[in-house]
Amino acid sequence: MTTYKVAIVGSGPAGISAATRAASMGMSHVLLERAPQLSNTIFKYQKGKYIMATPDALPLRTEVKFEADSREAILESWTARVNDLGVNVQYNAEVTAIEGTQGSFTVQLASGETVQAENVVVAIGLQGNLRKMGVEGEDDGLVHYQLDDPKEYWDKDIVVIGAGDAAIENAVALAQNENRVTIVNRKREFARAKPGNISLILGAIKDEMIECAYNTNPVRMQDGAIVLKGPEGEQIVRADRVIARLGAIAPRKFIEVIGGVFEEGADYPRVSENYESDRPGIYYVGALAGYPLIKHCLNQGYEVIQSIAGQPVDGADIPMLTEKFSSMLQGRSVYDLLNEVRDTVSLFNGLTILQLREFLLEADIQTYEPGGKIIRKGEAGDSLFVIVRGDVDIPISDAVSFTVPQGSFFGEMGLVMGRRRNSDALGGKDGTSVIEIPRNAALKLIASSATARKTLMDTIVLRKMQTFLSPGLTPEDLKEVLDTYEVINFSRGEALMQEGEEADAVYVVQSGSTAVTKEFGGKDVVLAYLPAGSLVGETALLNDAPRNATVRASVGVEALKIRKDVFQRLLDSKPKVRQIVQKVSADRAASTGARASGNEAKSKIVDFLMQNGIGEATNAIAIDNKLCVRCDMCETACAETHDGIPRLNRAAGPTYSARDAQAQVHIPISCRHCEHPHCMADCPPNALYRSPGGAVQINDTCIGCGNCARNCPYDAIQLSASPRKRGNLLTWLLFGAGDSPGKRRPAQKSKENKELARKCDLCEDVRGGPACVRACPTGAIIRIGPEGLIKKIQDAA
Amino acid sequence: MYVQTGFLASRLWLWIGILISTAALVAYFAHNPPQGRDGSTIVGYGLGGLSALIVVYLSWLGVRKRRFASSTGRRRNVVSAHVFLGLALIVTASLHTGFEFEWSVHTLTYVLLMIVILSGIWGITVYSGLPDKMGRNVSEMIIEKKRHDMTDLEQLDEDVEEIDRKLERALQFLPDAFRPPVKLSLEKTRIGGGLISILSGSSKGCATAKAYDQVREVADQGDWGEDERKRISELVADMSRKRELAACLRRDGRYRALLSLWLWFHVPITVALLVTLIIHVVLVFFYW
Repeated sequence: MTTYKVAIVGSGPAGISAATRAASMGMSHVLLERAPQLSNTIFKYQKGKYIMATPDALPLRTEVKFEADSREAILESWTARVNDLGVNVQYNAEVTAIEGTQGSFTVQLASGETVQAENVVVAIGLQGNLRKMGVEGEDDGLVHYQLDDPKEYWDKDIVVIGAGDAAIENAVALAQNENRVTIVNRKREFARAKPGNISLILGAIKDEMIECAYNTNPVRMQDGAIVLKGPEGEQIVRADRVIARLGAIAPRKFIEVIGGVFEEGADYPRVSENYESDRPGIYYVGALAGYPLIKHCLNQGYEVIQSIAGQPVDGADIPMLTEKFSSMLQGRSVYDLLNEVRDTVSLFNGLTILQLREFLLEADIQTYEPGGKIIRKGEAGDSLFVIVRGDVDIPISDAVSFTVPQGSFFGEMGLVMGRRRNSDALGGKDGTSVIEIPRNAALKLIASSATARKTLMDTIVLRKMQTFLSPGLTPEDLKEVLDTYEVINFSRGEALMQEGEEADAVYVVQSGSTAVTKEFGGKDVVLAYLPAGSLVGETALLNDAPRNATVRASVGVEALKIRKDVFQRLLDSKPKVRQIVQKVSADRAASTGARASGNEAKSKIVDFLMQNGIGEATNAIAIDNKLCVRCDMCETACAETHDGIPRLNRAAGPTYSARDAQAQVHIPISCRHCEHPHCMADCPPNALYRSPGGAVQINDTCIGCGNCARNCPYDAIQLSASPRKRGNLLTWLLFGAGDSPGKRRPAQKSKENKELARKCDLCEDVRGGPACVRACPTGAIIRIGPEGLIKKIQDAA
Repeated sequence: MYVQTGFLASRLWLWIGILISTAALVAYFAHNPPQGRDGSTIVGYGLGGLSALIVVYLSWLGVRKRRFASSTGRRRNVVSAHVFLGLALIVTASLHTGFEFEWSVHTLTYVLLMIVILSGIWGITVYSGLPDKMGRNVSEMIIEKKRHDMTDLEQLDEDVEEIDRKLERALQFLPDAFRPPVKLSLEKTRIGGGLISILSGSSKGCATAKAYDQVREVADQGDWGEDERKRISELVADMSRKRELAACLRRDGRYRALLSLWLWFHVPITVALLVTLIIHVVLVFFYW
């Protein structure tokens, strides 16, 4: 019996990559696949599913071809490659156990056969271990755990169980094919899925395309039906098919049988840097090692074979990292540097080197002379900077400046609040090297490392306190605050505090914005609008009085809550700080008092703006409807400066107007360039970005998937193909060529002319600024931020 | 209360307009040549030339407003200039004539100019008054916008359609006596139509209004059971809302028409004016 150099278990992306590499190196190998075809997981994707090739920055190193394409094209190209290289594949070979030690493993198959191998690469992914419903009668054939082709069903009753991405995608695809679909959600809302899918499913439920049973669980199967238990008790739902998409988990039992070790609380077995498990000679790669993306899997398959062959290669990312860090290496290896960076930078302390590598790939390193400007005040930036060498000066005024030391970070305000940079940052006296981490990568870091999140939040609180109260405050002074603050999320309209209530805390508005209202003569009057970065609720604590106003979130707000006793102790211990807080409070009382005596009509308008989300805008269109003559010149101008597609819809959108209204304000549908753009949340190619000028823009990597358009709560993004070129007056007159002037035929989409996302770009490359504003004959329209707009209203005569 | 600064609020062009008018008046009265004040004196030529220049500049607005990418200024400022210079033209052009009128192309040019200016003044009044009315008219009728990417008018149209669907369904259940008025409302309600009916914006003779009265009448006459009474009161409510919606949409159509009607005079007559102006200027050379 032959002893293979390596047995590869599973022919998913990682397994195929490993097997093809082994084949092309001439290494004796066998690829064991449980199913009768290659790449069973991808094979079972919904037909025609478009597969992404993320992360973009990661170079690909593998024997097979992979770029974003349809499921069919990818499978076809992989199968062809496997055949070309003569990979030794054994189908229907389910592995049940692995015995022996490195050099002479015996792999047991379910059929009773065995395979001898020196090394084993386990690349079985997670999809072989789908979570089941665990109810009576689920094996009667009615229940499926995936959906191959939604087009196989038509005019059927289908129940989809689950609330994740797969469940949502299946449910919607089935409903689009005219089936009666019920989706069963164990919880009260859809939270686990990508935002794009959440809005997709909520839209479908609202349009009655899909029935949704919330707070409901399957109980048992019953001929041709499923019994569900919801808040109203049990109900029997007719079902021609039940599709349960409940996710997948690592096959823990199997892994433990073959010697894998799960650290406490870990979802994946432990592996070394070259993917070797605790049992020498057995390697875990791909989703099983915690890397679910196809690109990672392909690279790991390749790398693991190289290490088995005794020719270990650096990760595909190492040459890029070496180049990135070349200025700092000074003869050291990039691994040494990575370790050093991890140890000096508190934000990275909790990461593994593999995670750090992945993460730094998306970052950028820069070196600055003493005094060189790293960021400029007023710039729209949302990246985070980490100091790896030297320190950084942040001048707050001409006289005072902060020094941020090596290992620390800055720029977090832009990241968290989406606001423009509030101060310069300058290179320190001995020169400075910083890592610039783009927003998405930074958010991923916060999401993936609890240590990083805590470090970041603590620093934000510290710096907030220093900016608000006194730069002289040290982490020791604020220790109690740092130990006790809480992060609380408020949804739109929710009150952070109510007028008349007893005060229990102060809040620092972290993101979003709030409106301060007070009751006068039975009516709520808006006194002020407090943007992200404000301290609220201090007055009541100073005077130990009930709240004197109500503060509501005008959009979703994240706020830091600092307990009353903690805050008061801080004030007691620092008389100077108390003075400062008193002054802030007095100033605020004076300015809001003046406004409150102002006029109710104006505060109603401000209220209207807040209700319609202007609080989270950075630059929105407002139209004074008393001046607007409905000529739509703004739309025409927009179309004429943007490939014939207007990015604003003048007539649509909310209007403030009533019989007794003194003013009429209309917010047409157009991008508001939100502080935290909803559209950016779920863009597969990461095509959305914020330009230095502050506009939310789309670059040409857009694939037209429509996620951004669905995610935008203001309908400001549309998908459309490019219209035909505008006709020339003369050629049109003489030869009938092109469209008549001023008219364009609707765009025809085709393979070359795809429907892509289009939105307002603030006319950043048009001379003179927004064309809509310039084109308005009566001066009704303006593009402005919330502060400016509210000031205009307050100042209006 | 205006949130924005409109085209009429420009102080700069107001003062330039006043300045030009005053200068023209001063020059006119200061210079008194023996043959009398007319277009052929120095001041006359000056005023004529100035007026012609202004006319050409003002007409250029038609071109300029369509150049979206190439000009950097705000169109509002250009419109302010247009308005105040246009008003100043009344003074400069009238003084240029020396108030000598006859049946000639010269007087025709002046008359056309005055018509253009008058239509412009009409435009100013329309532009400054109607937007407010339009907004109130429509927004009073909006109960709830279903989707915010809809315009107010789309919402109102949809409201009408929804009522129509309800009425059609109701026909099956209502007593037969209600059939004629409901049919009348469903089949004969017209919004819009010819120029005259749009401009009148009147809801006199509105089929739904008539139907509404008939429905009330029939309802008062019969002796209806509980179920029927419920249906009838719903019908009355629907009819009443539809009547109001129709009236609102007609008013809106009227406003919309008025906002552009003046341009149908202002622009073509401007073109005619430019032609006569050229003839007028060329002819003047023959007098020399």
